[in-house]
Amino acid sequence: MLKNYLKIAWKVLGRNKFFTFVSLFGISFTLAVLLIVATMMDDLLNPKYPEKKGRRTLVVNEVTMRDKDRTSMSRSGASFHFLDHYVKQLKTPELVAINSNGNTATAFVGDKKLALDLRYTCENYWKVFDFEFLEGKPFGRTELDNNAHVAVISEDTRDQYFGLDTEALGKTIILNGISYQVIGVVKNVPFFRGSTAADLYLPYSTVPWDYRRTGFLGGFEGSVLAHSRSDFSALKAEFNDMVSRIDVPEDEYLQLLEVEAKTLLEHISSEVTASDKNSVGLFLGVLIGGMFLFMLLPAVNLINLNTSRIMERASEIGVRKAFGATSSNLTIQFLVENILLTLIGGAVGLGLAFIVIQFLNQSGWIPHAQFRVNFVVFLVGLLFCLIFGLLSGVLPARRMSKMKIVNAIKGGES
Amino acid sequence: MIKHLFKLIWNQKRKNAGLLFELFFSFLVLFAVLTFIIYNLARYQEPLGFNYENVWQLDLSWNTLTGEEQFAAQELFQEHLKNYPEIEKFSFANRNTPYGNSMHINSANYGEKRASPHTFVVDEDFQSLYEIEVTEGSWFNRADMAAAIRPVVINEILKDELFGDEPALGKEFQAMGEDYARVVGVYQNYKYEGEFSEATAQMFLSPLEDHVFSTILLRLKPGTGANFEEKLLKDISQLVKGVTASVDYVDDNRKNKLLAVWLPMVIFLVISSFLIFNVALGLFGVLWQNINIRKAEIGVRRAVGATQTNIGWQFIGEVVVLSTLAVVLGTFFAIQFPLLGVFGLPVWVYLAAIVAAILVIYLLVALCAFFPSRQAAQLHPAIALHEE
Repeated sequence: MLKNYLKIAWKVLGRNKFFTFVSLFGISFTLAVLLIVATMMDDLLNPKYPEKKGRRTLVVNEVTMRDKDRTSMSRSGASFHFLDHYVKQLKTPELVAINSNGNTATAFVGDKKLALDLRYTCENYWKVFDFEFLEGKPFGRTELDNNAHVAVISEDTRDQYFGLDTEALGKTIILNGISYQVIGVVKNVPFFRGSTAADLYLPYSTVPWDYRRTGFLGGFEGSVLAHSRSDFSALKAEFNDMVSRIDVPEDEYLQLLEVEAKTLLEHISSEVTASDKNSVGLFLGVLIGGMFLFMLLPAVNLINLNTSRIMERASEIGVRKAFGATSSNLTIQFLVENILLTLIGGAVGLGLAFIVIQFLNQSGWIPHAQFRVNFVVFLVGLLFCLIFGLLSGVLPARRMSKMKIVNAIKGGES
Repeated sequence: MIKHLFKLIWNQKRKNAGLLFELFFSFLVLFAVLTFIIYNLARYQEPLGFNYENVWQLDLSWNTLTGEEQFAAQELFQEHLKNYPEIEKFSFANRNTPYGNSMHINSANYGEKRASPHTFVVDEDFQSLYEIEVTEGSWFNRADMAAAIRPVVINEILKDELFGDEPALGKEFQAMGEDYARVVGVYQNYKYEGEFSEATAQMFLSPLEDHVFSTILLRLKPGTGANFEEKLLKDISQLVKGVTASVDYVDDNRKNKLLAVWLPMVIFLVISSFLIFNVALGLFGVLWQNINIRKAEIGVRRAVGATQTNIGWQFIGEVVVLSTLAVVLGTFFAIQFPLLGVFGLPVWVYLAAIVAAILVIYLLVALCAFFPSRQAAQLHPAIALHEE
């Protein structure tokens, strides 16, 4: 039966090349755009290099202080003091990593200037995140204690500073006029990885300012690794309890301390929606709603096209009905046809998306991004195809199947 | 005629409802994209008000230096920077500089009038460095700065907000809390957040006597490169121990800032053009199909004396009536944005976007209807009737 439907569908597609082209163009373009968005979202929201343990990591990267009347507030990253003194003392986590955020360093090669993004990190940073070392190894407790001027640099920094594929291990790099010895080279990290993207990683003991001062606001963030995802509620409870027991010194103007340990998704949602509240639902809602809206126009277009083509098939419908085909038989047949069409369009769309993503990866427009069309994205794409096929097929199919036999055989209006 | 067209459309109401919805939705998409583009282009047209070429921004981190040490270091830099032939001019400023990411907003009160200008604290050389055009009075100089009341230079928007039509020069108003400042100059434009930003109320305050700045702006001889930057940074770190300095080229910062607007604009434009192209193809297909089905009707009309032109106009007329319905419906929704003031954009931007969207829709349907209508018009009555 299905084989028959597919055969008919194939013949119909070949009958009028222009209409098939219009349908396929709309479908494949729409699905290509959706697939590209899905690939990017997958890369952003699912654990990827080097944040492979992202599923069981919480981030502490935003501290808000308010005065008693809640009229003034100040918000920034956390202070080293807060992370080192309070967060690190928590019992539930497996590990706590501390790193700075938003620092830069300048280096010069000949008459060229390199502006490098820099993170000051602790030794646990290299255990919480799974960096791939092309050369050497990370720094540890010894380097931090000895105030050693050592640096872990990215592949890209190595290529720009020392020359393409030159070994950098043991060599000296001059940053802001200070010499550091390279002890490791890591694979590049895409710029949108919140806790790990940088050109350069230095031990926090070499921070030039007074990073150990007390207070809660500062330029650092913490990554808290739990033993498993199921520990999150216990971990958050312990964290909130710890925060509630902190006494802000009486003489401070900003007395109220607000800080949360967030999952990656919670963090990205609040960034995107610029909201203080738990905004995961809003973020996902807007994302899915936006994709649905984007599908709507091409779907309506396809509905109109399909509906106006009923007449082409009127005699076929009439004959099938006369020989006893029920409405639901016909509805299913037309739906199968439409879904076949969307699947073909989807395949073309997948190809288009693949080409665009390869191009994005190679052009370097999005620094160090390596998007992959993976199995999850493929499944999402398949889902989109089915939704699109149903969305654009149900209405015309129902209209076709309801056509009166007499009218249909005559080939006239319904 | 019009009545007849409506009747024809009503007869095919189901099919036409689909087309109507499609056109309506296309209108909304066009309206959204065009509003965004028109708004930004209008911003871009407004003069920038300063010259960013060959300007470097030197950001200082004072790290662990105490207040007195910082001030002493600042005096030292002031003397030292004069020695470089590469530097034409330099000026000290707070961090909220052109194409940066900082802003600082203060309250300004004059009698009953209240305003919230963007506030910059800079030295007396800032105006000549960035070539800001002063329209009334002049920038503050050393003599002004020695006066008991702080001199301030305001822009015309702030002048309007505080003083209306009265002359502003010499007036004193509360700037920065309780402290008074005296207006010594008025300037036109200084869109420090970039070409695409909206002009806002602004004021330049002179620094207090012991003020420590965090940024030095340098205007360089054209063609000065990274070699000089390296030398400069080295000299600074040797001149004052403990200070970290970094240089940004204002030109580069500008490019990044502009890209943040260009990029979404181009992406929106590409995606919506594809959507609209898709709709156009679909529309063309539907109209073509419709006319094929209605051969009998055409035949009868031709037989009773309708000319080719009559037939052609009938089909174009039908589509035009349909798109007019869609446009009216769309405009009803679109007009709510300026009425409710949702995003706070100027009303004329919405109106221009509505007009532009209407034009695009009509152009689109005219193009899509033209060939099918001509085909219908050229149909020979005998052939058309033969099929019935």
